[in-house]
Amino acid sequence: METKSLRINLIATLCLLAFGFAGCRPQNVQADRTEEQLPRIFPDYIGVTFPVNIAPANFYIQEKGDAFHTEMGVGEEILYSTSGSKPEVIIPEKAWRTLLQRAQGKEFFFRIYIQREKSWTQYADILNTVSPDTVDAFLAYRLLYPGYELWNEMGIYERNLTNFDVTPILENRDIGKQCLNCHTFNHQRPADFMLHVRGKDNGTVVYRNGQMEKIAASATGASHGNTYAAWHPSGRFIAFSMNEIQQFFHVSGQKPIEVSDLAADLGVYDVDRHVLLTDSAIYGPDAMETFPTWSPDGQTLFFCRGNAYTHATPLDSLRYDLYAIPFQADDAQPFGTPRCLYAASREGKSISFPRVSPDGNFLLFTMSDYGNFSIWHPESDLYLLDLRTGEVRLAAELNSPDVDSFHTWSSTGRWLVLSSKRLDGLWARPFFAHFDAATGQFTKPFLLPQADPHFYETFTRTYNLPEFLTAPVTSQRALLETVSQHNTEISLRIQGR
Amino acid sequence: MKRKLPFILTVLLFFIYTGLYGDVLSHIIFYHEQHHLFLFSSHYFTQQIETVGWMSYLTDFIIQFFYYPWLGCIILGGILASIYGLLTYNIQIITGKNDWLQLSLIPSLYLFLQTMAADYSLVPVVSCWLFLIFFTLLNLLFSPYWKKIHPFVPEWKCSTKVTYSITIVVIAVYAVTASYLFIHSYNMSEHRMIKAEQAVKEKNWDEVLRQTGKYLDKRRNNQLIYYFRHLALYHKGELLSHLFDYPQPLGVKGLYFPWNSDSRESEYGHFLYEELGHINEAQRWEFEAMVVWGETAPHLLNLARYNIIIGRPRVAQRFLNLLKQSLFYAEEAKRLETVLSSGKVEGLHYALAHAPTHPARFANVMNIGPELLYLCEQDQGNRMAFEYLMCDLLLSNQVVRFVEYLPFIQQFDYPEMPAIFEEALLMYKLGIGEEAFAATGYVIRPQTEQRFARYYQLFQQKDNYRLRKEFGKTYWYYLNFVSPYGNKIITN
Repeated sequence: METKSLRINLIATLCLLAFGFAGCRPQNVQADRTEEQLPRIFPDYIGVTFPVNIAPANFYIQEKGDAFHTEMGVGEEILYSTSGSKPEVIIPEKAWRTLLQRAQGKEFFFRIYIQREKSWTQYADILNTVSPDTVDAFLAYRLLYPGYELWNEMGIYERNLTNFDVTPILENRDIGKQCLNCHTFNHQRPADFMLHVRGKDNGTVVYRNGQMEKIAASATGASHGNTYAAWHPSGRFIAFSMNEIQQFFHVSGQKPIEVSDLAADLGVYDVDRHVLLTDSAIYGPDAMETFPTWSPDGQTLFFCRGNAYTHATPLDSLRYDLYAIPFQADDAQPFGTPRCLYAASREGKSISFPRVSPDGNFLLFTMSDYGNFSIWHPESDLYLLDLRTGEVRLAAELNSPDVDSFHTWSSTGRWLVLSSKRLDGLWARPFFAHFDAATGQFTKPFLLPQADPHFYETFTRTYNLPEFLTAPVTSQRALLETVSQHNTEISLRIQGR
Repeated sequence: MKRKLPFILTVLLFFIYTGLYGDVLSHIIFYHEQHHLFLFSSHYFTQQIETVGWMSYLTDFIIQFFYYPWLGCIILGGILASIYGLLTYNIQIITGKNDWLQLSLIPSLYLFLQTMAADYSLVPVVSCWLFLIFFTLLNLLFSPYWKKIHPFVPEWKCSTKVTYSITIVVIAVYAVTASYLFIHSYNMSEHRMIKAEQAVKEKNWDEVLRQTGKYLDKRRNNQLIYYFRHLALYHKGELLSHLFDYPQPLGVKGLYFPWNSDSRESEYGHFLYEELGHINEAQRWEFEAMVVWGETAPHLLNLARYNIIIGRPRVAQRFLNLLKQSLFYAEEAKRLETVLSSGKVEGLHYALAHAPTHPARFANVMNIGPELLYLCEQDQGNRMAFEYLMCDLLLSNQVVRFVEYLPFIQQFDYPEMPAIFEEALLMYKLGIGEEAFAATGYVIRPQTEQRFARYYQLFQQKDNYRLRKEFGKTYWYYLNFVSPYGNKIITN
C-alpha cells in the first residue's frame, strides 16, 4: 500500500515537473514585430549545405536579447523548437537526425525570435540545405599550436563527423613528446597511411594492408629527408618530396612567418622494394619540386615546381607553377617528361597543395603571392583547374579574406574539406563544402560543428592537414609499437635523362 | 600537554613554512603562479582530466591563489603543516596512542624540502594532503571500529619525563637534519634568477640591479643574470656608464639570447624585444614559450598585448577569452579587451609599425646586431636600440663598425661622449692613425688619452693586478683580457 502511494506521488511530481517545464517553453512565440534582416549567428550556418549525415550544427545567436526562441523545420513544419534566456542553440541529436532525413535535397530553416523588453522580434528565416550526398564519416587531423619551431604536446586525431566523438590516433605524449607530422592516407582509406616521426625515433611509419613498418626518414644518398607525401592509388607507391625547409620571421606587418624551401626534389617510394625512384627531371639542384599528388588512375604525378633558391634569392620572389609528369609503375624508366599545366609565376602568383578530384576531372590548388607555405599567407585562395579544358577559375565561393589553404576531397568527390583561418587569422579550422561535379561549383563552406558552439573561441590548437576517412583508424596500438622500431633503410635510384 | 603537542607542532610548522615561503623561498610561490593557470570552464576541466588528471587539476586550482604571494605562503605552509597534523591525528585515531617518536613529521618535512626546487611539481604535495583529508574523514567514520583494536596496540611504558625527553630529542634531531638539508639544498642562484625575473616583470629596475649585483658579486657568470642586468642598466640610464662594472665573459650573449631552439630560454627572449619595440620578434618568442610552457597568464597576456599592437585583434581576443575564464586575470583581460580595436596598448611601443612590408624583411634570429641597426634606421630616436647596438658592437670587438654607426648618437642628448665610447674611439684612432681619425670629426678628451697612457704603461709592465684594479671597468681591459672573441679588433 505504501509503495503504491509512493509511486502515485512520484508520478504526480513528475507530471507537475513536466508540465512546469512545458510551461516555461513557449511552443509558439507570437512575434510583436518582424525584422527583415537575418540574425547573426556563430558559426555562420547561413546559406550552407550540410551532408545528410553530419553532426548537429549547434550555434549561438550573436544578437542581444533577454530571451531567445529558435525553431527548426522544413517547409511549414516545425520539427524542433527551443527557448531560454541563453543564446546557445544546442540541437538534440535525435531532432537533428529527423530534420536531416526530412530535408534531404531540400532547404530547412532556423527561425529565430528574440525578446527585448518583453517584446518578441522575429528575424528572417535562416535557410540551409541538406544534401543527400553523405560525407565520409571521419576526419583525421593533427592538433598543435600554430607555432614556429618548438613543440610540446601534439597529436593526430580522428573526429567522427556524424557526432562529436574525437579519438586519438597517436599522441606524442605516448612517444616521449616527439614531433609527429605529415600524416597521409591513401585516398581516404584508413588501411593505408603513413606519418613522420621526428625526434629520437626519427623515421616514417608506413601502414599498408595490415602491415606496419618504419622506414628511414630519408633514402640513402638522397639530398634531403622525405617530407610531403601522396599515396599512389594502388598503395604500392608513395610519392615524396624531399625538402630542405627553413623558417623566416617577418620583422613587421601582420604576417608572422615565412616557411620556405631552400631545396626540394621529388621521388616515388616503392613500398614493396624499399627503393625511392626518381628522375633527373624532378631531382637535382636546378629547380625545386614539391607537394606531389596523384591522378586517380595513378598514371600522372602532379606537383609544384619553382626556381632553385640561392642565397641571393629574395624569398618573396620564389614562385611555384603546377606541373605533371607521367608515371608508369612497371616500366624500367617509370617517369615521362614533365610538363607545365599552369604557370602561375607568370601572373606573379605561386601554387601549392594541388589535389585531384576522385573522378580525375578537377584539380583544386591554393595560390598565394609567393612561396609555397600558403597556410601563413592571408592572401592565399583556392583555385579550381578543369583538367579536361585546362581552364582555371578562382573558387570564390570557397574563399575568404584570410587564409584558405590545405584541402582534401572526400572519397565520393562530393565534399571538400579545407583549412581556413577566416575566423581569426591564426588558427586553421576545417570547413566543408559540397561540390557539384556537373557545374564545377562548390557551396558556401561551413565550419566543423562542435557540441559547444563557443568551442572555437578558446581553442588554441590549430587543425592541421585535415583528411577525410571512410572508416576509423583501428591500428593505434600497432602504430605505437612501430614508432620505436628500427628503421628499414631505403635506397635511392635516380633515372638519368 | 600530550594532547596539545601535535597542535603546537602543527602551528609551529605552519609559521616556519609560511615564513620561509614569504622570504627565502618567495621565488617558489612566484614561479608556480607564473607557470600554472586555472580556468573556470568545462572545456578546461575536460581537457585537464583527460590529459593530466584530477590531482593536477586540483593543484592548479590551489596554485591560482598564489597570485597574492602572502596567500600563497599561507596556503602552501598550511598544507604542509596540516600534512603533519592530519597524519599524527590519524595515528591517534587508529592506535589510540600518541606519536611520541613524531614519525608524522617526516612526510611533511620531506615534501617541504622537495618544494625548494622551483620546478618540483606541487602535485605530490596536494595529493598527499587531499589523501590525508579523505583518510581522516574515513577514519572518523570508522573510529568505533578502530577503538576495538586499541587494546591490542602495545602501551608506551616509559615515564612521562622520559617520554617527553625522547620526544624533544627526536624533534631536535628532525629539526637539525631538516635545517642541514635545507641549507645544503637551498639554491641561491635559482632564487636570485627568479627574483630578478620577477623584478623585470614588475619593471622594478633597482631590485633587478640588486639581485643581479648580488649574484655577480659571487664571481659567477650567468647569461640570464647579465641579460636582466643590462635591461635594468638601460632603464636606469646607466648601461653605457656601467656596462663593464662586472666582467663580460659571455660577450654579446650577455645582451640577448640568440635563438637556440632552447625551451628554457624561450621564456626570456621577449623581454628585450618588447622593450626595444621589436614587437614581431617579442611575439614570436612569447608564442614559442607558450607552446613549451603552456597557456599561462604571463604568456597569454603578452600575446594578447602584442597581437593588439600588431593589428591582429581577433587573435588577441582568443587569448583574452581564455584569461577571462581565470579568477585573477579576468579584469586585466577585460581591460585589454577595451583597447582591442585601437591597436594601442599602454606601455607598449611598436617601433616597426611603419616599416615597409615590401620587400619582405626577415629577422636575424641568431644575431641581434642587424635587428638593432634596422630599429635605429626605422625608428629614429630609439635610444635603447642605439645603446644596445653600440654595446653589441663593442662587446663583439667590432670597433670599426662601432665608429661607422656612432653618428646615430646625434639623435640623442648625451651631455658628453660616454667613456666607453671614447675608449673604443681611441682604439680606433690607434688603428687608423691621427690624420684619418681627425677626418671622423670625433675628439677624444685629454683625460682619456692620459688614462690610456697609464693603461698602456701597466700593460707593458704586465702588472695585471693593477690593470684589473684601475682599468677593469674599461673597454680596453675588456678587449685585451675578457672578450671571448679574442683580444683583437674585428674589422669586417
